[in-house]
Amino acid sequence: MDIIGLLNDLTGGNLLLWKVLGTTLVLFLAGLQVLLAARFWGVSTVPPMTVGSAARWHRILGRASLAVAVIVAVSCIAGPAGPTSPTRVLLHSVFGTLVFLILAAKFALIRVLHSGDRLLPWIGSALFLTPDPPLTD
Amino acid sequence: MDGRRVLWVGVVVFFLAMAVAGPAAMVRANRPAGGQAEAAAADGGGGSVVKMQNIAFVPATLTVERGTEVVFENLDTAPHTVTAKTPGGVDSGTLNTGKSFRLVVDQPLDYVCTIHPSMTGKILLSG
Repeated sequence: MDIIGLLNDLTGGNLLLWKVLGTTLVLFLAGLQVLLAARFWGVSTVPPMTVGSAARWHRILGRASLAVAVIVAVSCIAGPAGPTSPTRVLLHSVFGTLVFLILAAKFALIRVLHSGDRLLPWIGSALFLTPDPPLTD
Repeated sequence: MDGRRVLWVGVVVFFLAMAVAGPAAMVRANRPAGGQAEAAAADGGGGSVVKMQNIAFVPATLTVERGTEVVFENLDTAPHTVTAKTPGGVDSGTLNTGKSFRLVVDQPLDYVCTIHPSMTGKILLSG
């Protein structure tokens, strides 16, 4: 199945442009997610909303950003993924792998094992601070 | 196990699969078989087409007869260029995904992608 061909057709031959837009959106939402998490963990009063609303929006925007991130990641993995040179290309793959490992750990903790709540701020921070794959692209 | 937990287990497995896909692609791209195919193409088995894929020109070295038309096809998701290393030489301009560039070769060419400088290639003349 030619995933890249399909995505390229869907984006009118501008797949790279849409990848840039997608990753920019994910980066923006990631920053917003940190603010919302800080709000419902009670360490910030910004943004000015109730703790319940902050938690709800954190979940909604998190899923939206994950959906976009997965599409972008698939277009990387099905397309140019593989080269280990130059270094920034290698780092792109390493950090992309790390992001999905952290996501797997986070969802395993909160949705499957229903434990480790105290670890969530650390996991969320690690996710945000992992050098974003787009930055190494 | 209730239905929702099964769903979330699926999500976790999906994320793990995405995490494994990157290293798997790296292993696949660096298998010796790929190098052998490239070498075969460089010996003339690949015809007069140079593909741009996985941030590389394939074959990296192509030997053709003088006057042969070589087609450069961008099969990557990233844009590339075919630019002579010597100033004022061949320059395809930016080739977006799916675009190609045709060049009638009348002299050897050392070229590079100016967007990804690690991408280099050579065209040699036979005979």
